[in-house]
Amino acid sequence: MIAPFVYLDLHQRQRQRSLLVLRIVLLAILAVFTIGTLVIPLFGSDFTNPSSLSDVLVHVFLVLQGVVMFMLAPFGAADRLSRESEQRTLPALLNSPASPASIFFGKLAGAFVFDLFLWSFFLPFIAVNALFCTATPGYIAGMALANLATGFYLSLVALSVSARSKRALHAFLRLGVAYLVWFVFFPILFGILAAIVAAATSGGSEPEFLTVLCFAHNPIAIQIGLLGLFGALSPPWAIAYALAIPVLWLLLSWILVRLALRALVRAP
Amino acid sequence: MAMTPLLDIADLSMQFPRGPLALDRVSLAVRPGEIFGLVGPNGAGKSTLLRLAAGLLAPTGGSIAVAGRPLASIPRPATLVGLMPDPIGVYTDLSVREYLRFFGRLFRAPPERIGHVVGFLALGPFLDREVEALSAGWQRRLALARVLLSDAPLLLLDEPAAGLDVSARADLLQCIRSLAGGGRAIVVSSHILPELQRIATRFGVLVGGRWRSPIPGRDTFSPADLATGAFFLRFPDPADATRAAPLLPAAESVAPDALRIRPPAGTPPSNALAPLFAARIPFTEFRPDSPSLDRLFLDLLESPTSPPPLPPSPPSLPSLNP
Repeated sequence: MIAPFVYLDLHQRQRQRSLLVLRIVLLAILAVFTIGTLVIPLFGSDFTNPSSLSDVLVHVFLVLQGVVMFMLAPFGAADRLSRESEQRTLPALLNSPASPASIFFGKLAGAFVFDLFLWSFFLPFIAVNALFCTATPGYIAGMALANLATGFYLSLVALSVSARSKRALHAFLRLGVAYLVWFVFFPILFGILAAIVAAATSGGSEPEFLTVLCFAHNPIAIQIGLLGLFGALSPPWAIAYALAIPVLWLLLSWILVRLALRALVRAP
Repeated sequence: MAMTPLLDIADLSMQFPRGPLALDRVSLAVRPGEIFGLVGPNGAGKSTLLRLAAGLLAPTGGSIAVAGRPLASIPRPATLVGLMPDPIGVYTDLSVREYLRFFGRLFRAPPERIGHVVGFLALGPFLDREVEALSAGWQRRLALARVLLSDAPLLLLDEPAAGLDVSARADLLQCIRSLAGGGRAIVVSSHILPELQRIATRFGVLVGGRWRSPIPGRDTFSPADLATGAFFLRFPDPADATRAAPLLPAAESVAPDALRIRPPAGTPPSNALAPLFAARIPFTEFRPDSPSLDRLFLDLLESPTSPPPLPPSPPSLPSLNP
């Protein structure tokens, strides 16, 4: 029951002009970074060997890939179900053999295909630089897969918001507010908390459980870990951090899917 | 033996949370081959009734059975009930072919079924057009095609002819009639009452979530129930009407070239025409003189507590072969 929704999603996106613009913008960004980094040595920079250049570029592309998955993947999914309400096509879908769960996961599969499209854009650039850089293949693959997982996870969040919105605009606004709370308000709150706790303790540094608490809920928690947090934490807390990520992701996903399905059942 | 109703609704009630009572103990049975005309003012509960019958909403009271099975126990009601909602909600950002392929895959309809539906609704020339570029009439046909892909024996059509011109309406109603001829049970909700009167085999008027009927003790009524016992006769020339008037029972002039006659109860109405044949007076039209559904509907709306005056019991309809 999921395949028809992927078919629908692909054919609908195929007609979106914004997608063509997106492709051009992504290619332009990649080209600018590649050319820019290659041109730097001409001006007397230290980057005179392929290894140094690739070290920079592979990180640039991995970060860019992460930013794109973080920013664009969820906003590509945010209107998928609310548009069904807006176009009044939801009753027709619900009067089909597809259950609300099939509709939701079908739309999620469609969103994942879009995520793959975004994600795979960077792969050739990352792969070429991975041949020359000093970073391990495991690290590069881990970061790239973490970026994909982040995009998929945020797409699920966005789709859930979409299911509970009657209009695409409302879905985008709600997702924007959720982003603001999640990625601006929460870190500030945790930062203040960590500072208070650190000041109260004689050591002057925050306890490790607060570090885990601060970062584990974040959709880029894996990337943060790979970039150094796993190494900075003591082994028990590193394990706790690694375990907390999937637990929190699964818990939030389960809650959001339940809310979305309830909204779909009540939609007509 | 009476056929099992495809749709059997008993004492159905629907109370929306923090909303009005949309339906109040409504009962209805629709059998295969029937076209049930659902009539009512805006907000009367027609769409709610159809959405409940399609399983999109859960009732707060009463029961719904489809093909003899409780609706709640049917895992995929869409295989038995096809709903064409209003607004129709078609994907305007797809082509007709893509739209049909998507729903064909969803319904697991074989390609032959899609081809059959395309042929039946004459959608062939439009397959590669964008849905957005179709006229309202063809978009409605496409929505009907989506419903037919399921091959459901019970069709619920909510305002299928809304916004269509006369020609598109006639085409669509012809489609509906031939679908019923194939043994489907069809419930059609419409505000276009003259057309509905032409195709429906039974009617129900919903007002404020309750049936309102001109027949005491009955929720719904058929065209035969509307017969007044009078017949309408039209002549090719007003002089013919003048000559015919003294020869016919209880004849009264309704137009220069038309008479209303009331044949004696218990005799075949065609007997009343014998004097015309004897006098060689030609006529062009002879039909039961029933009130229009429009008029009846307005009367029902204007008499909120008691039904309007009833016609006498109808005579058996004659064969109109002279």
